Amino acid sequence: MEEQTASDEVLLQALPQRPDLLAPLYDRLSGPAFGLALRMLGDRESAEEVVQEAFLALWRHAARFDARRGTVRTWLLSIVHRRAIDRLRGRAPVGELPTELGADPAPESDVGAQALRRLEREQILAALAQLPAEQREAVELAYFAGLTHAQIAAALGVPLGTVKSRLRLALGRLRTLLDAGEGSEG
Amino acid sequence: MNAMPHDPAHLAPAEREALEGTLAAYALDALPPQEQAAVRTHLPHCAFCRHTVARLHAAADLLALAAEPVAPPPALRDRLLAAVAVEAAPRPVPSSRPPLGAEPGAPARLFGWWLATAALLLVALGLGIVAAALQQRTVRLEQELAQQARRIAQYEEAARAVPLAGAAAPQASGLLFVGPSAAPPLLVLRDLPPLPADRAYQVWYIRDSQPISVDVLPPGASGHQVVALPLPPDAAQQVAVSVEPAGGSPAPTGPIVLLGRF
Repeated sequence: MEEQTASDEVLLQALPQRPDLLAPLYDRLSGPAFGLALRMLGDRESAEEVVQEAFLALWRHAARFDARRGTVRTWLLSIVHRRAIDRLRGRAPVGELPTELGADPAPESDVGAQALRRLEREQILAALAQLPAEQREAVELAYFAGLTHAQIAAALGVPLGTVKSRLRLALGRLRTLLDAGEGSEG
Repeated sequence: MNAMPHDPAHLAPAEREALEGTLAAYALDALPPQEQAAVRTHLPHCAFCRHTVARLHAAADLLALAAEPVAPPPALRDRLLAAVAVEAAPRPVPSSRPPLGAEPGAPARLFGWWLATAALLLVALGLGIVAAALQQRTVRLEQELAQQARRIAQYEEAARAVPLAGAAAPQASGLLFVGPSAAPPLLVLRDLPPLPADRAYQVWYIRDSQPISVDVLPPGASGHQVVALPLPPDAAQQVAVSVEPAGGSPAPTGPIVLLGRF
């Protein structure tokens, strides 16, 4: 296998037979994973632990990856995110994978996997920059600081309904990145 | 939320927006535990909510890409790959091996095999000791975190939250939750820069320009910290965090890194 050119998805699918392929996956994905963990947890030691747990989960559960649901990158980062939230909330991890805890998206659900492969960090940042400040603030407090909607409402001094509405609008706007990408697929 | 599926055709726009707001919070894992569980048990019964959550989940996952990538220390790569190599190693089955000296050349091969097994056992033993230490540490951290979570839960419906902004440390931030009068105020600090070993962060209330020492963080405390403060702010106008000699000072001497106004 050409490890340099093979996609993350191809590497992951070969992982159960070729544990050595975790190294190239790690080299590609550890920067975003560590950056996310560090931003959420704020200290390097906890961030390292979370990243190691996430890559171990990736290796152990490689066979469960479903390319229709997204990319290896977002899958790994969602594991990092889940682990970091567990730590921020002081809650014991429920399972190694986010889907064991969260919704199990139905197969018919379109998550825009094709568009996701082409999305770059700059596009996400640009979309976030275009959000009204109060929407961005709410969604960042939820996602990166791990606050519940009630904590966000208390922190910002706005009603709960307002927080939910900001979260809905912010995610809706981000969602258009995926939908627009799918549309241009033709 | 119950087992009844939602029919989008029969939802008024306002109802639909409220429902989607709850599902957005769910997709971000931002609902309180009971509500999160209620939505989770509802999803298998409701195609509309399942589809909406899947779409919102995918959008929430994009936020991860907004974090700036940071290269982890090289030691992490070594640790991870060593752990995977141990998990991936096939279990040796000694009984399937020929007895010692059964054929010419066998002792050398067997020796090599034993050496490999011994090396693997040594690695596993080493990892086992590390794992046991980590386990102890994890239990302690979990207890501490559970305690923090209980404290935070008390403030879920806090009467007010006072933001602290970075003064000398622009990337640092904080929130002071002042809850019910009987409960201690809770100070949540983020991105505190690391300090030299002989320095510590000290928390102050400022009342009529007079600083009142509230608490001194342990030396070395940095990054993300949750502190239950021993004093209520009463009539103080400001809350501040400064850098002081380890153990604290009677009055602020170092730079004010964070400042908030009541």
